[in-house]
This record gives sequence, structure tokens and C-alpha cells, in this order.
Amino acid sequence: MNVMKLSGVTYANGGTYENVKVEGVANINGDMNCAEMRVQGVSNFSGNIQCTNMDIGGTCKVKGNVKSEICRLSGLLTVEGDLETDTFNGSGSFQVGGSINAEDVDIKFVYGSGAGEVCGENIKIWKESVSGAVDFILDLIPWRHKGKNFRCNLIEGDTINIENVEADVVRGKTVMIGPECRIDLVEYHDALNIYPGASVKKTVKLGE
Amino acid sequence: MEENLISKKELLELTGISYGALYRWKRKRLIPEEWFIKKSTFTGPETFFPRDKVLERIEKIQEMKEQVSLDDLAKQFSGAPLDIQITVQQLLDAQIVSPALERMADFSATQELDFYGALYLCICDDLITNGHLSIIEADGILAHLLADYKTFEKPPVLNIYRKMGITFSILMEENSQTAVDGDAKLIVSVPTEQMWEVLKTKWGNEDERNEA
Repeated sequence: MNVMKLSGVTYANGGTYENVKVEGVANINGDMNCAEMRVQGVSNFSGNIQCTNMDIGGTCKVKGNVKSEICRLSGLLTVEGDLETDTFNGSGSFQVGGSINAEDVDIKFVYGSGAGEVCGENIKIWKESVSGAVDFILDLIPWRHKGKNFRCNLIEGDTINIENVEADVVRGKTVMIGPECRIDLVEYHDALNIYPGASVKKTVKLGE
Repeated sequence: MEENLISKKELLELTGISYGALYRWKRKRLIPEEWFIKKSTFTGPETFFPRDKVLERIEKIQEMKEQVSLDDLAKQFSGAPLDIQITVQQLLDAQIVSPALERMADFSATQELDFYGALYLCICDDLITNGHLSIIEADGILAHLLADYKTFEKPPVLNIYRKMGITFSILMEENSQTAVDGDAKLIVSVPTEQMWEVLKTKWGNEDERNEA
């Protein structure tokens, strides 16, 4: 069994492993292929990642694409390419340059999250609730305003349930638009629910 | 080249599949990424697909997904050749090629073939049984395929021309430009990619039957 454990400040090369564990600060060159991956420190990947089970507790930056069956997030994830996974859940901050393609997306995001596209079957994106006082104090930090909402171009799926999302187009069968959403166009097949506080410019019912 | 495209909305309506299924198949590489063509329309960005290809593919997936797992299907659809060693006799028995081939010059029933060899035989067989070529001409085509087929990255198109009774063939990449003498008549154009898939499906099914 091939195991890679990195702790401390390290540089490593990618490859095929059974188990990858990052606990310190790691820079990893090249593509990574593994069954299980846990990131608890800070890691930078310069290539693509393909794995079965991915657990991100720390900070993870990936230059290429990520393909994983399970992706759990409780930290910070930046992917410059696409993210493909069966289930994507957890809470944290994530930026995906390309598209997120997942069967189930269930994410509580904190500030500064976004993606090019989110597509899948069940999509649930909402904001991690912080107590009002903490939120107020954090709001005093200027850069935080920029990424208060989840920002993306397109959300497409069968059941969509979103809060605090800014998007150009949302398209789905059953769509729930929650508070603080700003959507330009919503296209739906079966049902649409819009929370009174949300702003939606245009809605279209498809299939008529 | 203006291709016949279908929008995603139309596709979902026509085939009755859901967004989830479409993206699942994309993830499993059942529908190649190149088929997702992004274009902006007056209602915003919309994804289009090459109509015939995608409809055929989805029909196939829906038909087969009951019996075969998605991963196996993906293997079948991916461009990679099957890892097989078969004899000509086995091809004959499985009715993948017809007995007409027996009259070809260097025919031997016990010869071992890899996937490519089987593919060449299938192409020749198709040409002969459809009456495009005579046995002797097929020998020439077979030699041509043996010499040049593997130099192409993607399955090329085989065009067969005849000029003043002489038959000749050109292997070329799909949609690439060629100019052929005006007197030469195009007899047939064989998209070998299709044959490739046909052979894969046929042999894949055959394998299962053997196991069962």
C-alpha cells in the first residue's frame, strides 16, 4: 500500500497513492491520483486530482481539475478548473473557476465563495449563519463585502434550493429561491418558490 | 461547417431525461465533453449538442443502462480499443463478419487478431457485402488500412474512389479538406468511428453472452 504523509513544510511530487495526508504546508507538483485524501494543513496542487474520497479541513488550492466521488469540505478550497464529484457537502469557503458537476451539492458557504457553474441533481446552497453581532463586526472589514454572497453564472439542476446567491441564470425543475438572492433569470419546469426578500428579474416557465 | 445542433432544453424535453441524469452521464464520460457547445443566445448562455450524435447516444444509454453498469458503458463509448485477442473463426462464429471473407487472398481462419485487425476485417466485410468492392479490391483496402490506420489519432474516414475502373482509397481525418480529381467518382465513404463503436458493442455483448 502506498501512503503519503506530509507534515511540516514540504515539497512533493504527485503520483498514484492509496492514502494521502497533508498536515503541514505542502506544495505538490503534478497530477495526484489516490483513493483517500485528507488535507488538514495548507496544500497547493499544481496539477489535477483524481481520488475517491476527499476531505478538506484546511486550505487546498488546485490548479487543474478535481475529480472525486466524495468531497467533504470544512475549510477552504480553490479549484481553477472543474470540480466533478458525486456528493459535495460541508461548510466552508470555496472558489471554483470552471463548473461544479455533482449529483448532490449541499453546501453551507462562508464569505468569498463562487463558481462558474453549478450543475447537478440536487443543489442546496445556503449561507452559514453567524450570530448578528459577529456578522456586524466582520462586516467592518472592507474586503468582506465583496464576497458576501455566493456568486456564479449558472445553476442548473432538478431540485434547487438556494439562499444568498447571486446568479445570472437558474434553471431547474423545482426551484426555491431563498432570502438575499439576486437572480437575473429563473427558468423552471414544475414549481417555483420565491422568498419575498429575494430579487428576481425575470421568471420563465418551461415546457408549455 | 454549420452543424445540426440541439439545445439542452429541447434535448431534455425530447428524451425525457433529467438534468441530474445528463450531468451524471457527463461525469461518467458517457457523453463527451466536446459535445457540450456553449453559445450565447438572447436569453443568456445556452448549451447545445450535435443533434444526431447526442440523440443516438442517449437512446443507446437508455437502452443499455438496465443491463450494463455505467462504468462499463463508459468504457464502451470511450475511444480506447478493446483489449482482445480473437481468431478469425471466432469472428465468423459470432457473425460479426460474413463468410464472404474466406475468399480473400491471405485469409486464414486460425489467425489471431487484436482489436484493430478485427476492425479492418469488419470494414472490408462491410464493403464487400454491400457490393461496393470486389474481393480483389478489398485486399488492397486491407493493405492500406494495415499500413496507415494507426497513424491517425482519431478513427479516420475511409473514402473509396474509382477512376476509369481503377479503385483507390484515401484515409483522412473527419471533416478535413481534401480535393480529388473531378473524374474520380466517390464510391463510398466509411466513417470508421462508427464501425469502431459497432464492433465494440457487438463484441461487448458477445462477451457477456459467453460469461452467462
